[in-house]
Amino acid sequence: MTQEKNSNHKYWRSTDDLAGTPEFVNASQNEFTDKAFDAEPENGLGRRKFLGVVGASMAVAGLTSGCFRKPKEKILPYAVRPEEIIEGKPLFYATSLLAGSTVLGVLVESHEGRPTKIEGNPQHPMSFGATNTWAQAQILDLYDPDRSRHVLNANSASTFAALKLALKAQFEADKKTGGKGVALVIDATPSPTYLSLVKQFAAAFPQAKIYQDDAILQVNRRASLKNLGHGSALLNYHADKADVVLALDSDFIGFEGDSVRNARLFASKRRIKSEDSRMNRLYSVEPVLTCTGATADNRLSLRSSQMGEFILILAAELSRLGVKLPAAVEARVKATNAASVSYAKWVSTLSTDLASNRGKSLIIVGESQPEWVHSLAFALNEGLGSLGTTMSVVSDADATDFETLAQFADSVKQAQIQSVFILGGNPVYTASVDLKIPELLKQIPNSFHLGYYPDETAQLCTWHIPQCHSLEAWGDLRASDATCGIRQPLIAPLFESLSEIEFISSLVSGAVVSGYELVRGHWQTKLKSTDFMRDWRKALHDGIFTLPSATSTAASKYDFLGAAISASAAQPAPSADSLELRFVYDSHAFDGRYANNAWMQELPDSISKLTWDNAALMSPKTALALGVSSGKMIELTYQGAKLNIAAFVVPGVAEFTVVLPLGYGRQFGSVAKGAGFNVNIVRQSATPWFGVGAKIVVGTEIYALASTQEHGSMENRPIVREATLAEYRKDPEFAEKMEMVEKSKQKTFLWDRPNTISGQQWGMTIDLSVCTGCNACTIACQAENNISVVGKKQVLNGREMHWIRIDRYFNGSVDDPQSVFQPLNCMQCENAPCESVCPVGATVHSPEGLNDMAYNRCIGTRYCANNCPYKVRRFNFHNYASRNDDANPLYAMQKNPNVTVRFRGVMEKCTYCVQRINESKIESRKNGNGVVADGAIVTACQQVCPTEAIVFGDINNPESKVAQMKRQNRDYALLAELNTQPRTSYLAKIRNPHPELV
Amino acid sequence: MTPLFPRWTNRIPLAIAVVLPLVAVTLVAAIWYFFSPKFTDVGYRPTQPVPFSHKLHAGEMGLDCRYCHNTIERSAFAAIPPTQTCMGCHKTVLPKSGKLALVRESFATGKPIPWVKVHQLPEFAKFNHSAHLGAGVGCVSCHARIDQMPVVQMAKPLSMSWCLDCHREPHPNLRPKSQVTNMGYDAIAAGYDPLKDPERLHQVNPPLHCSGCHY
Repeated sequence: MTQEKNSNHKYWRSTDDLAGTPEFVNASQNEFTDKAFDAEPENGLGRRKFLGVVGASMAVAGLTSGCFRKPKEKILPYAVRPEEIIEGKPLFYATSLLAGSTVLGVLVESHEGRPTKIEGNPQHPMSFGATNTWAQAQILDLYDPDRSRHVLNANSASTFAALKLALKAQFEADKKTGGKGVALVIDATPSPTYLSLVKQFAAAFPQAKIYQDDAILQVNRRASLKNLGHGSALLNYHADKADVVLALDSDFIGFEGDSVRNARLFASKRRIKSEDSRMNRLYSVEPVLTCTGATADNRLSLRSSQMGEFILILAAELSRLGVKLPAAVEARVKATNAASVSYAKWVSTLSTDLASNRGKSLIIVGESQPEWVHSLAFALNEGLGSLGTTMSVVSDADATDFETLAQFADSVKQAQIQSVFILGGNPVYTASVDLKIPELLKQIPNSFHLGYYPDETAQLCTWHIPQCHSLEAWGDLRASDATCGIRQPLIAPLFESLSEIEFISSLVSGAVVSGYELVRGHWQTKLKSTDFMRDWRKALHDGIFTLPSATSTAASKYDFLGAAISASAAQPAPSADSLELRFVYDSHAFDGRYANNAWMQELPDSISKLTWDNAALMSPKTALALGVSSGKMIELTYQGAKLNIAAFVVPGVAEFTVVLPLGYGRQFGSVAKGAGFNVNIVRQSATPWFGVGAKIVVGTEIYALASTQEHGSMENRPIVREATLAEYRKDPEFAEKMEMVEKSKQKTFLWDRPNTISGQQWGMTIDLSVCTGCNACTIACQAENNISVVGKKQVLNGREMHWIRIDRYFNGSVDDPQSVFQPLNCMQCENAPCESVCPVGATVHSPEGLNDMAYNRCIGTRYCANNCPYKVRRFNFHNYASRNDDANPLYAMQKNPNVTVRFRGVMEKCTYCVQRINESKIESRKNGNGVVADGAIVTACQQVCPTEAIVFGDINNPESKVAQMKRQNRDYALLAELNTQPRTSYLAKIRNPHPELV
Repeated sequence: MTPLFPRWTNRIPLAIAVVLPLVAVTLVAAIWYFFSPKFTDVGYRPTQPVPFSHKLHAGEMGLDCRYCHNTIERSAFAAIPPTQTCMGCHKTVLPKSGKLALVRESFATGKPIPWVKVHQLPEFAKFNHSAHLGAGVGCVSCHARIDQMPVVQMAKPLSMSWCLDCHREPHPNLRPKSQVTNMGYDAIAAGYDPLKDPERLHQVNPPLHCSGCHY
């Protein structure tokens, strides 16, 4: 009966789950994977040896115990205490960070000068108090053992003194020649001070050449805006003003561009209170399932090479509906025949929706699309009245056009370059294979590389200079809406190093100028204010400068567009012998810059749930046609280059497309090395994002891919509940009707409900409607709660430690799936099954409704984990924490001093950030009436969430935000029929697909 | 044939029956007493690098605890004062004393004085000084008459059961917030009733559950 109710949505976790293969059924019924018990400790003692040692040490201890006490501990107070420090109270400093391709304003928590956690700055328009996975993980990068510690000269340790001599000699020589034969290869850090110094360098050495290469550069978008007559500019989206959004090959709320800002503003139009609420609608056209596509109301799977055709048809349809387009475009699209494509109805519905929401619609094109697609989308946006309402053009006058890496390669080939300074980037690894950067770099006699890691580029340069971490140096960052913020150091550099602005100042003037003077000097000239120090201190405190708007009001010119469209050649359709390749930035490693971060490596990817590896992603249909299955090694040939990579079958990839995530297969780093495959070795600079013509040969070898996607299955129970907006309006109580056992027949408490005992009762709601599956909560939780990394082998054993995981379920057909995300932390059941089976009372209930976990009592029977229906308890099978911290004492510096670090044999789980609850309780008791105000406690996952999907508070207070959420008719408890009475509840997912396309 | 065992062996079972319970009881009693913090920790009095006397400073001269330990009302941690605080007086008071050599050296070099921790709690037990002072628990309740100790020693066991004694029945240890650092204050003699103290906006309700202290 219950299954019938649920039959309109059949949810599945993987293709094996959908097909119900015997392997999957077997695996899902086992608590542990088959391999689990094969595993002996990786480095340490085996079980027998361990027991032997324990026995022996007990005997010895018996002889001596009672004769000595705890080891002596020292207290080392300050000799001179800094004025602002109260020992035990963290301080928060406002600064800015580059996280992926977005600039985020952040507040960094510092314990007596030791930064431990990064939070969003609520005042910054790119973060609104939230952050993303990369920003969260950067705190671990700061303490990375593999970061550069010494100056390297020809790969052996050298000193800053020797480097200074070399730089001085170089400077004197360049001064005479005006920089002839000198190349500067810079990254695209959007820092005004940095760019002004680059300009000073160009002025000081007019003969020198400057090249720029970076994953965050937005080459196509910038080029398009330039062609349109907006000069150097960027786009800023206001998704909170849009009712209809089209994402064209763009993951704008996931990992591309200003995703945190976009997600926050987008979600504000999607947070519904009741069946009468309005909702925006998102259309997504993409070649591989992304967070954006999974959140979309209507998703169309198309290859990247088909996007041009798609937007032309869309333009034709819109023009037919009376949307005013530039004459050049109008003439060109007249000839377009819409009826010829399979998605004709989809695109005509979309265009009607867009045209009837003029001024409230928005088209966002992904960076990987060619210039003309961006320009055409801009024309459509302007025609639809989006410009100035849902989207604005922001002048970026500081940015200059530099030459590209391809031009650099040409210059080196022509032997024009004798000395090169590489600032920030890692072109040896990130450059396309045809540029042959490694070979060319070896031909240059003098090469200097400033970088955070002694990476692939460092190894090929004459000199390598350690770069400061973002939290160690002065700087500034400009967001895409022209908001500027100071980057202030939280800690002195852990190892002697230079920031990028300090290094370039030494190139300009022959001596290093301090970063503080450079940044302050830059802003002093720029602001021209009457009381500069006052403004400077305010900006330091707030994290942002108050600057005039930089919105460009220039009129767009479209005369070039007709020709540009005509010049774009139609791409041939791929087939089994000629596949389309699509390169994407990886959601963990990005372009490789976060590859050595263990938190990022172990984080399951939003869609594929892969950890520790990348893989060639393809759809089940394509895989079947090619005879490929998940884990099989394939040899891929593209334009003469070969790549051996493991395949992974994941639904939602366009037909005959192979998706290759960048950033893996590094030749450096104790974490990054050995993880995944370097796909840059088949990437071509002419077609950096997609191209047709790849062939694959299926190998016989099987590669172990650690995907967590099958760790837990719904087994046809109503775990995620979902309806369309129309269905919800028709039946507002649908979530309750999906219960396995009717609400009235469900068992309830034998005794009084615990929340009648005392005043404040903690609870949480998670709104599935706005969760985009971005994973930020998982990493924030890891940073806050000292959660260990376990390694690939242990993930294969199903022993990952994340306290909050994101379950991703597919539904619909395997060829055109939809996907739902469900964050799952400890439900803090009122009737907790774990508590009743603990033989030592290590997990018991608190009077405030928390399911307490007393680590020091736990003896590791694991009964609780066995009895937990939600599978949220995590066991320390090995001594992960001290293994990681002993190997690298720097890691220990990241640890939150308010949370116990767990030992081997101890169970752990989400505590609703009880350290933050206690902190707020103590403050309210000290300074108030003892009642914690609503909103005073913010859990780590709640704080980081870009879409504010997580709400936490006192459920006994009817006015609290969480109590209001729980009163909604979408609210449901997970597995309520088990009478666990969970404190975390979910708000059913509502999608708003166009009625014509359901 | 002579018996295999002599006659006296018949008494072995009796001896075992008498001795074994005695040994067992002694063992339990010994562990009960000797392994408890009351025996192992109370009276712990390490030698400090500087012979600082609380008896002199807090007792005879009557310095308030908060003059040096100034974080106690704001933070979980009762900070040991920076060397700067010592030098505030000792720049002029006994500026040449040999006992203060390490203090002067610390101030000159910026290197901390390595004090030995006397009151050690395990890492998994979180104690918050500001919470206790805010509730009106006096310093003396946990640290005893520090103002009478020339060398600081642990006077209370700081064991979990000892903590819980007060968490279950806090009233005897409560006093007006103005008296928290007054070592000689006697709540009973003063007739203090926390339930009738108008300064208290809410009654104390100390946690008894695990996550009150362990997280």
